[in-house]
Amino acid sequence: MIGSSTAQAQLLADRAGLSARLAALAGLVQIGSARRGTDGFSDDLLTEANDLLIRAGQRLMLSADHTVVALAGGTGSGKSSLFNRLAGADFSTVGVTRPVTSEVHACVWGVSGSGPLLEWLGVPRRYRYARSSALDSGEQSLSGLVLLDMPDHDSVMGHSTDVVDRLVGLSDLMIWVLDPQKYADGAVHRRFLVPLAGHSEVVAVVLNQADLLTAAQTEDCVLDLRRLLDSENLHDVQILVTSAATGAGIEELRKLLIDAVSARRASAARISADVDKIIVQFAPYGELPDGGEDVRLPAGTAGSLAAKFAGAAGVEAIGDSLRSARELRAMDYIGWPISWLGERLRTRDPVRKIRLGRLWQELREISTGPTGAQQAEIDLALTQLADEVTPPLPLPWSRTVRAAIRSHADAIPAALGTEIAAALPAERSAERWWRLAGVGQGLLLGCALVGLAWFGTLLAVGAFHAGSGLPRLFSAVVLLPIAALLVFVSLLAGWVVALRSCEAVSAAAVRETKLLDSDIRRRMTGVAHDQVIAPANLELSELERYRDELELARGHGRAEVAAPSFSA
Amino acid sequence: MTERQDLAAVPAPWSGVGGPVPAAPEPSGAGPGGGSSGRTAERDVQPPDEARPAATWASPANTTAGQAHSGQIGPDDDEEPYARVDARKLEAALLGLRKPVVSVPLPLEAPDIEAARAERLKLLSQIDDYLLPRLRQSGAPILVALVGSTGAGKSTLLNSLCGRQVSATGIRRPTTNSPVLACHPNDMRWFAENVFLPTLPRVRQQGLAMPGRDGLLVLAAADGMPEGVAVLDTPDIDSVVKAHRDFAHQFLDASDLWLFVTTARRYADAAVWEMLKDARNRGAALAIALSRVPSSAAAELAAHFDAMLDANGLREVRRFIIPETVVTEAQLPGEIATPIKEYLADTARRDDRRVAVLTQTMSGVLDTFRDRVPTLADHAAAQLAVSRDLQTAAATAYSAALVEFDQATRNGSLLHGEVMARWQDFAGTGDLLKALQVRRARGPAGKGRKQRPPARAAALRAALDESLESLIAAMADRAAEGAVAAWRENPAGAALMGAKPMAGPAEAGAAGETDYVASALADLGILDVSAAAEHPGPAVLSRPSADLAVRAERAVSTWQDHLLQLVRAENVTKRSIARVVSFDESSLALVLAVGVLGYGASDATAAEEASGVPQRLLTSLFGAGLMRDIGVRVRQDLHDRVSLLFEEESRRFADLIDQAGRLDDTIATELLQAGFTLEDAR
Repeated sequence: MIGSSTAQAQLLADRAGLSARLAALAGLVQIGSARRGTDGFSDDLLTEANDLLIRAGQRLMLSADHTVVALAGGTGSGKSSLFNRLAGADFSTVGVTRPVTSEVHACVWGVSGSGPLLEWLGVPRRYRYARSSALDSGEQSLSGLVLLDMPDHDSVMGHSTDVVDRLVGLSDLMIWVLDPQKYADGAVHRRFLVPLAGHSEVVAVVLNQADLLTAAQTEDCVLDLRRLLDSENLHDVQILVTSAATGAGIEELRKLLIDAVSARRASAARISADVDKIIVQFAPYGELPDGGEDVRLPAGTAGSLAAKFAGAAGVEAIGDSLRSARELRAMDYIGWPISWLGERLRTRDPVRKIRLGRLWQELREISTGPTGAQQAEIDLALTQLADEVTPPLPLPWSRTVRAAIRSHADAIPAALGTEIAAALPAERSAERWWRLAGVGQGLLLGCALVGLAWFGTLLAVGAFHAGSGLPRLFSAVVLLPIAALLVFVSLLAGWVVALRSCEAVSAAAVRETKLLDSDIRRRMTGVAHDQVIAPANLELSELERYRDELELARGHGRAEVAAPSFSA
Repeated sequence: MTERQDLAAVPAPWSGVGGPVPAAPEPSGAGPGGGSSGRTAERDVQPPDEARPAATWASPANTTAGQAHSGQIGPDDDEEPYARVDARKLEAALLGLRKPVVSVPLPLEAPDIEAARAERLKLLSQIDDYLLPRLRQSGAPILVALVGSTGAGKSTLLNSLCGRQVSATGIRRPTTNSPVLACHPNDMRWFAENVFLPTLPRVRQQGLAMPGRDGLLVLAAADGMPEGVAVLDTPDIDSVVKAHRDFAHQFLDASDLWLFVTTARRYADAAVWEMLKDARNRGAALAIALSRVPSSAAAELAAHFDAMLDANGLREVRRFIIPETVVTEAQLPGEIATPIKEYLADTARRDDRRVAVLTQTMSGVLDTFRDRVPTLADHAAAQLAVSRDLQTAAATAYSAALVEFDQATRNGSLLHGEVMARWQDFAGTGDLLKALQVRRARGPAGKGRKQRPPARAAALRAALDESLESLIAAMADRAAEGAVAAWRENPAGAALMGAKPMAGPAEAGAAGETDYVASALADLGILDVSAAAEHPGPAVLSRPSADLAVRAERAVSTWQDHLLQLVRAENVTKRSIARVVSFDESSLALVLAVGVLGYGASDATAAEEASGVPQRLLTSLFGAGLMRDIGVRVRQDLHDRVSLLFEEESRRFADLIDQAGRLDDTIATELLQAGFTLEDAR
């Protein structure tokens, strides 16, 4: 009994593993359904997978103690004869004219709980037969078998083909009954056996009517059949030689059935093989080239994208423009009045001359303001990023990741504009020290004027004795050089101050521009991350999840890791 | 060789509808002689001697062949009875049909296009393999195709007919890999040349029942065969080997009479009835043999099969039954095959039967042309429609992009980002004003200080150029992507771009088609354009072409030059202002560009403020009317240049269609016309 309990444990482990794989398959279907379409997951595949999930769910829910075995084959291959042989009674009609069986017949060994299963299989009530009453010792071991006699798949009766298609999908173990005349028919191979590649465990082939051949011919025939099956990727399929007429080989067939029924694994194995088959079709959607594991965008992507955004928004130009504006405005305060006056006197304003005074004012007022960004350049940057990132990805993903990268393209210029506006310093009328410098320039100019007046007075009073009675301060000629010096020094000082201030303003503007630049770039990195990188990574994480589910559905996930620990 | 012995061979207990086989064959010569007079009267259009005797109905062959033949059938064998048609006219009509059938271009993926390509090939092979040879060599033996399910015993039947083993039999299925053609040694000459099935290589049989290599037609001479009839043992119609099925159908197309063999186990197979319905639909002469019939159930089976045949409109078909029996040396017992052998010999010998068979099959095939040729013409027309759809899709994508480009240059959205910042820098710092220079009062105009464009102006211009270029690039990008997306929706477009592997070359059959059609085209002296076309993938197509950036740069800079020319040449400024102010032309051109591109901006206040200034400046300088005029011209010039660029871009798509094959809008009409001519010639 120890053996049976370990077998029971193995059975349970099988079922648990299968449930996990089916759950993973459901995950794949869910991810795929959101990305179906011409370039996406094929609708047929998703439908097929969905059908499989439903079928598997129903089959696993229904009696696990029964094993559904289908006898399928072409017209006249002797399915019904075999069925009757195995059932031990003439349940299914046998005849010479074709086709004979047009409805499915079922024979159940051990009835309890088989009702819903037969209902699910769609076996008409009047074609259900039971072997429960007559269970003799030999039949005991067959308890739990549901044997189906299927209609011909290749006859002119079109509707029976659909029945066969459906039942081939539903049964746990398929026994294909072939005969020497038809064993290489395209109808059975192309339509049924080739799609069952990989199902070797749950498919068996019976070469019936062996009584028509000599032993040597039989051997030849089996060899050829084996070659055919090998070419169809059904390498391990068991081939039995029987004759329903003479009863030869029936015992082997019965033994095969007993094995299948007692192991109770056929239903799980069948579903497992179906999952294996369908997973192969899901695999290309998750394939990365040369084993690339990390699909996320590289860390520096946001930064390099932000650099392109900066180009599109003209950040450098904004800096230049800000600097120009600062210098221009500062000049009003700190400029050397002499040179300013000189300039003003030398050239006359052309615009004023052509009476465009208001325009002149407006032009003067144009200064640094929010500029937004070029949509076209943003688009190009995103396209370029998509071209770099997506080509290695398999098809639906390269498309969806591209779409994700572009998802907010239209909002980016406005977002950049907002960020730039927020980063731009408030329009300050003037710095305090500009005013101080301005006042200083005024004082110096005053000094120069005072000195000039003094110099003039001294010259007039002291040298030409134009007036008298003035204090010595205004008449002593010796003071003349001092007055001249005062004028000179204050003018020189004004010039130096202007020069120095200009340099300082320039330096400050450069500093400010640099700060602004880095601030804007930081903000742009934020925009790039929020509007581009995050959506793309979200999509890529779905791809990762898909790959994980794929591994699980393959059965390579936790289950395989867990298995050795059991044996150890 | 021992198979299950049922009963002694029973001669067909199943009497066909056509009545029992005549027990004694009529003496040779009597039949033809009797029938010929009446037929000659009907065939009054037939000129007795023609430049090309081989092509006439009257003389069955050219000299040598005729001599070899004459000993067998009789002195008046050149008066052999044939279909009452003018062979020469029919042949010309067929050749007239063949040309458009070969050259009809079917390069684009469309619904049922695979079927249409197969249909074209089938039409061709029926014309080349059957109709033309039969017309040209009307005296050739009747070609009987032995068709049927695998394991029905076709080869065994053939061996029995020949009286020796000419075709391999065995347990393995499918047994027959190479088709075997058996005929009387005297008839051999008809098949040695590549007249029947000219596309198939053939070998003469060496020794006994040696199967040739796959795909070779094995010719076997057998004394046992009746003269005037040749039997072709075909590979199975329903076996796993696809090549065999294709073969089988090719032979069926080429033969005059089908002898369909099926078995007691198989007669209800879907494949059998597909075949029989095909034969019925094309009106081929048909005989059916039901083999391996267990004698115990013979009557029951025969009745059932009879009923099925009747129900499917095959009431008139001659039927035979071959009981399950002992096979010795791969042959049935002599008496079992006899009815079939006699039926064949009779058909060959009796002129009325021969004519009936030939006429039935040929007019059956020609009847099918009535529907099939117009169908092919429909496909040709559909191809044209598909190609138009594709072209329209690409053109639509590009014209949409051009509209968007126009919008972008009109609504001021270009005055964003760098252009905007540079403009602010240029205008706000007074550089713009410096560019406007007072003309020295009464001084000569040329003496004004030559001023280099200031750095800020250069930066603005660079920014403007760059933004225009990237706008063009982005629009071209979007258009290409849109076109690719639209093409992807269309199966033909997807196939052209190679998004999906081309269905054609992947399969051996389709490759065969291209080869065959290509050689047929070469025969007609038409160059096959679809060959050797390099397909740029969708990844390449969805990007603008590599040199677009260079061409866009050139377009933008020539546009700027055009602007400068305009400013320089037109002497555009108002007279009152020109008197006092002179302008730096390049700066003015720049202001003009900014003004034109930013004109009518209403969406963003920033843009309005920026565009308003140059706009007003320009209006003041040029006057409102002139300014509007200039604006329109400048924008139109830009539009023209860009539309030229986009046209070149969209040509890549048109080229792809052309590479696949030039579509001819007359070919459909030509096909229909040829079909009518053929009808007329019958």
